[in-house]
Amino acid sequence: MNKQLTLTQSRVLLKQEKSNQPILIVIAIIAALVFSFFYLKISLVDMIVGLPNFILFFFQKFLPASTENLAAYIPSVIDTLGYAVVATYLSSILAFILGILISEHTNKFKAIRLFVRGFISILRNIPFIIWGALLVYIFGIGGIVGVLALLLVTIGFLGKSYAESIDEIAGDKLEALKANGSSYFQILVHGIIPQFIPAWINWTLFAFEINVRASVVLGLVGAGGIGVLIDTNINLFKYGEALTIIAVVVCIILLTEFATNSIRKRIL
Amino acid sequence: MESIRVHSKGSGIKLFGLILILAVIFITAVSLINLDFQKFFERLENVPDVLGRMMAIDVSVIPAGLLAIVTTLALSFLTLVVAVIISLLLSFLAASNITPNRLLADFIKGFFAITRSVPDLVWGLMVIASLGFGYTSGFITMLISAVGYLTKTFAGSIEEAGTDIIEAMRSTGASWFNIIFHGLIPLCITYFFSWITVRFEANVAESIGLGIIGVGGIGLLLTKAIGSYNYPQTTTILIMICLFMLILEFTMTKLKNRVKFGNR
Amino acid sequence: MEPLLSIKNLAKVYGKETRALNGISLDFYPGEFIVVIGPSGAGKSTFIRCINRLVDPTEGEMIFDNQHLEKLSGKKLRKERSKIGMIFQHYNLVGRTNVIKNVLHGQLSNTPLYKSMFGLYREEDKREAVELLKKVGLEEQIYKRADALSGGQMQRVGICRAILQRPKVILADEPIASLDPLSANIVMQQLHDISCEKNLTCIVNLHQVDFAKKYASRIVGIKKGRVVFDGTPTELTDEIVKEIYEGKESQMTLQNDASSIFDKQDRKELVAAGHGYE
Repeated sequence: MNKQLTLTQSRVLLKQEKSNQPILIVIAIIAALVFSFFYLKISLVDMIVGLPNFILFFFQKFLPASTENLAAYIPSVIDTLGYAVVATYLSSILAFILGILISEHTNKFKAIRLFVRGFISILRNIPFIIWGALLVYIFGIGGIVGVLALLLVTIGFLGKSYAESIDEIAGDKLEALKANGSSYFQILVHGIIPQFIPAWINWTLFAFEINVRASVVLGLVGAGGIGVLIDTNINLFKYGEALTIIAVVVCIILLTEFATNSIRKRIL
Repeated sequence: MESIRVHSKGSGIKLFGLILILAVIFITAVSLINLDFQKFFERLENVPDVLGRMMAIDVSVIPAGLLAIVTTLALSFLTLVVAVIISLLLSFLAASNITPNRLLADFIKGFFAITRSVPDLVWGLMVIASLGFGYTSGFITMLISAVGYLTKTFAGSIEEAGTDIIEAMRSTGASWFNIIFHGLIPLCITYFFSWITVRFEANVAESIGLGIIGVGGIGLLLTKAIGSYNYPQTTTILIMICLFMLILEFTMTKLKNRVKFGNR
Repeated sequence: MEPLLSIKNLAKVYGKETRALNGISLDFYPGEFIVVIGPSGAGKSTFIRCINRLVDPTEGEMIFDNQHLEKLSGKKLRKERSKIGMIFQHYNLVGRTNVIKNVLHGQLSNTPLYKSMFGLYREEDKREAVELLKKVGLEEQIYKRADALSGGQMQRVGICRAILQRPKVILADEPIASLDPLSANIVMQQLHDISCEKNLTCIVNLHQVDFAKKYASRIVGIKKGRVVFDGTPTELTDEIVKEIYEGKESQMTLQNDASSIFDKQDRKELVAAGHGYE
């Protein structure tokens, strides 16, 4: 008799422990899904068939890749990489200044910190292609526009990352320099920068990777580089050539990743 | 008397060499790309004028904008759910510690590394070329990016956190499915969730970007405004996007924290 | 004789009620080697950090070099700080920078930025830095990265850095708390010898009473933010020590005695909670 009681008791306990939360969440998700379906007027059939259709099309039209004009693509590749390099350099310097302005260790004025934070927030929140489109719109097509657009994106990302790294730099090390009467800039140069270097290298290499990808994409909105070629070829239905160019892009990006990882391993 | 050296041996040469290399790279890059400064400075004169015209707001576009935001959200959400399901399945095949076949794991990881190297807008162009404009194309494009990202990150979390539990459960004779459902999933669910929230934000950003090549949502609305030289509308939509993304970021962070610190 | 550093009614209040320092008045004279003892939480660290304004006091005056330290700011504060050297429990060296440059940081307040950036310090400064490093036995490590050194070595670099400031006072906040007994002895010995040689005033926070008795010319005991003892080591009887460390006796020789991991109070609590520690 006693055994039975405790068994039912434990069963009750288990049930009470599990709240209704997971079920509610699942219901909410399904509801949102159903709503999305109807709102977008997507047909389920289209969705399911879409991927296979695309893959089919890909194999039929995009392959085989035509390698005729391979050499002609080289200038564009150089352009794309060049934009990325220049943008990374410039944004690294600018973002460093911004990072110093955001971090508590290096900037005592809350108002300035918040203002710069807000500015960077805006830069990061608007998807960068939009920035690209805007800049092309205002300044027209051209190399500088591309670099500018890349700058805008990377400054936002790097500024925040640099600031976080500076924040992490232990305050105690700086205490010693504070206590012996060193000036603000002395502390910056001799205390913060030496400790910041590994993080700086890490983030900047990362930014270069991002810039290479972004540079390719910016071409699609006309800012120059290899993206322009992809766009043109697809519009002209020259899928074979387009695939070749895309393959070149993949190679560039993978090589960049490989290069930055090697540098990281060597230096860090 | 000889001056005392302060720097470590060779550090001077190393530093000089480094600066030299960096300078060479920079100068090469600048000279190779064509930066047409002249044209740029000509256009620069237009800028104050353009900025001035952008200072206006057009409230009439707000309702359409809000609807477009819902569209973007819906598309992103739909893609996310499907991507999560697919990625969950794939990630358990791709994680080296739980995969039934090592080669399969490497193949999956390599395959998605390549798909991730293709920028999402390029996928967009290809998908649109084959399926035409419309939400389905956006769905497929974002699906490719999302699955690529989620499979990698899920697999990464499984590899990082799961080895011990897999060992323990294997030694009790648990089946592959058991290990996954009763061991790995409860263990990794918080990590998975934070990847999912990150990806949702990325999805939204991507879908806005896809608007430039014609996939609907607020990105498309913005592109149209830009294309028709409608400055006040452009500004308004930009502000809406900014606010929207801020709210989204805030919500996602809140959600992430809730799950992390347990909300039972 | 005029005191070198005069502290009057120093008080530090955290929040609304926590009085870390509760009215401390002390005068320090040139050449003294003062050890401040007391249990953790008594206010030793707060006291020392108030002197060079790493912590700002709520009340009180600190007169040094004919200046009211508590009122200074900006360039004037930095100038006075350069005359006060400090040694930290965790050494606070810049890890990625080499030893000699770390020592030369002591003269940053006197070196213009464009010179210090390129390591163009004055010859006398560089010579003195090398002399100091030789004196503490670190001649072989001059060009090594600071984080490649052991704890004891790092602390000795810290001492050199502080001495290079050519200060009038040296503050040391638990300089040997992170060191093993052998290194601790070496560090204390060298700190003591160098300050005697240069006739510096040294104020050191320690909780090891035996070290205090060995090296100090004057001992100050702080308990709950107040000075409860101020005299020579011979005057410091065991009874007085017990009173100062009341309830926290295990801290008297904290690092050397691993068996007393829990002090009496903790032990009582553990037993009461049923952990059967006894």
